[in-house]
Amino acid sequence: MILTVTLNPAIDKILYLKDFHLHKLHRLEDGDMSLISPGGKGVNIALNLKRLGNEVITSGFVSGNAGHMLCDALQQEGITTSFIFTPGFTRTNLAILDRNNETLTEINDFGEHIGQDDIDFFLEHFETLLNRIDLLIFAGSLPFGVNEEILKAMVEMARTKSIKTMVHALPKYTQSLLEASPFLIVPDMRSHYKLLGNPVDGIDQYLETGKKILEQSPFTEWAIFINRIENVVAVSRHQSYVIRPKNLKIVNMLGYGDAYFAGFVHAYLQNWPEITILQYASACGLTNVEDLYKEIRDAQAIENNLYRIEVEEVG
Amino acid sequence: MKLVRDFIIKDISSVTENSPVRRVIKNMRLHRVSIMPVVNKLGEYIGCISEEDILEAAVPDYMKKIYNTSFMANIDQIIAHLTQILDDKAIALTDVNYPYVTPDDSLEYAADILYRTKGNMLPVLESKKLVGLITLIQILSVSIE
Repeated sequence: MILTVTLNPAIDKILYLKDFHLHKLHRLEDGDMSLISPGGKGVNIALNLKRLGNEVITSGFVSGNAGHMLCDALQQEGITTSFIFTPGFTRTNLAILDRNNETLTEINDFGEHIGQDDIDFFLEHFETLLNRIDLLIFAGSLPFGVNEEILKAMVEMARTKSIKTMVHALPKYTQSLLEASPFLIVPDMRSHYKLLGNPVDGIDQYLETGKKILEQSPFTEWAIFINRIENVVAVSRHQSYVIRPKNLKIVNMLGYGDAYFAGFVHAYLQNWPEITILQYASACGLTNVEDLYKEIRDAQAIENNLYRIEVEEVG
Repeated sequence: MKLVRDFIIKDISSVTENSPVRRVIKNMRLHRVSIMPVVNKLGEYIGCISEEDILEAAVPDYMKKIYNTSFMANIDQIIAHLTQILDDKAIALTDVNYPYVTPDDSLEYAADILYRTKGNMLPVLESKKLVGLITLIQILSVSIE
């Protein structure tokens, strides 16, 4: 059983338009599409993991009608929910995919402020969940009122039960993560070009930074930079890799990172060799970006795309 | 035969035995439920707390003694008494004999329990683990699906 924690989940409102312009009224018409789905990184990863055949519990903070809607939608997908309800409203994240101009515009709302009493109860509840899971995933941002200490607390509580933690979160949390030292760190580098105070862009800098992460974080076995789908850089304790998909035809980048991450988790749980894990994870990312939806809908397509992933061993 | 596992609501929200009563009330209000499962530190199911259990604890003993005569319960006194037990641990109010079902039980069995107990929700357990809930309205909804 996998537990994904999303402290700042959202309702995703995704609009697929043919021609999006600023300062213009858009009325959806034939060929356009409007989707509402549960969102937030950990939630998206849970949805992908379920599609890949895993049993998943998902937890975090939700509020109000949107929080109930989020839980209902996840349960309908076969995911077990265990959220803490707090006062207020779960946020809405808006994505506009312009299919003619091939642009993606995203606006992620603030989350609700979380009180200390709810944080304390979350950790109390989290502790009870640890006895029924094999793997912990933390992904996404921290809501107002919740500081980075919670990351350390969760990773350490999981470690005392011999449960590995895999993290996909913003680079600003990396310093805390180095102290917490989870099994896997995947910094969410979208719109970010600095990590640990240094500029990070390009294969060499990713490799160097990945090695630094492993040096400074004793329990971390993997650091992976996935934001450049054409050159994913993975650093493990044994080897570094650059992973490249062939003949990439991007339709929609929305959800790519979450699909990749879920693919890595799924493949890791199969006890496959490192190269096979990376191939499968990139095939999940590739399958996701070549489809309209934010989560993988056709798991068979992943198998069909495996041959398109080249894994190069470097340094 | 229709089984509980086909109608289960996969939500395992719960309080722990050490959660204060104020947390139980808060969770019930925000989760919009009238019954809250209680688990121990290991995540094992212990029992449930219902709104009725809390109300029962909130009514002062002297009120209960005269309840069947002509006394109308004073809400201010009930709330004042409830305020005094808000920091008590959930385990104090937990009904450890609250009925439950397993995923392999029949829907008829779940419906029978709910009918006899006049309840509206049953926890679903696998071994000692809470795996979800089955509600009366879900069972009734079978008729319209």
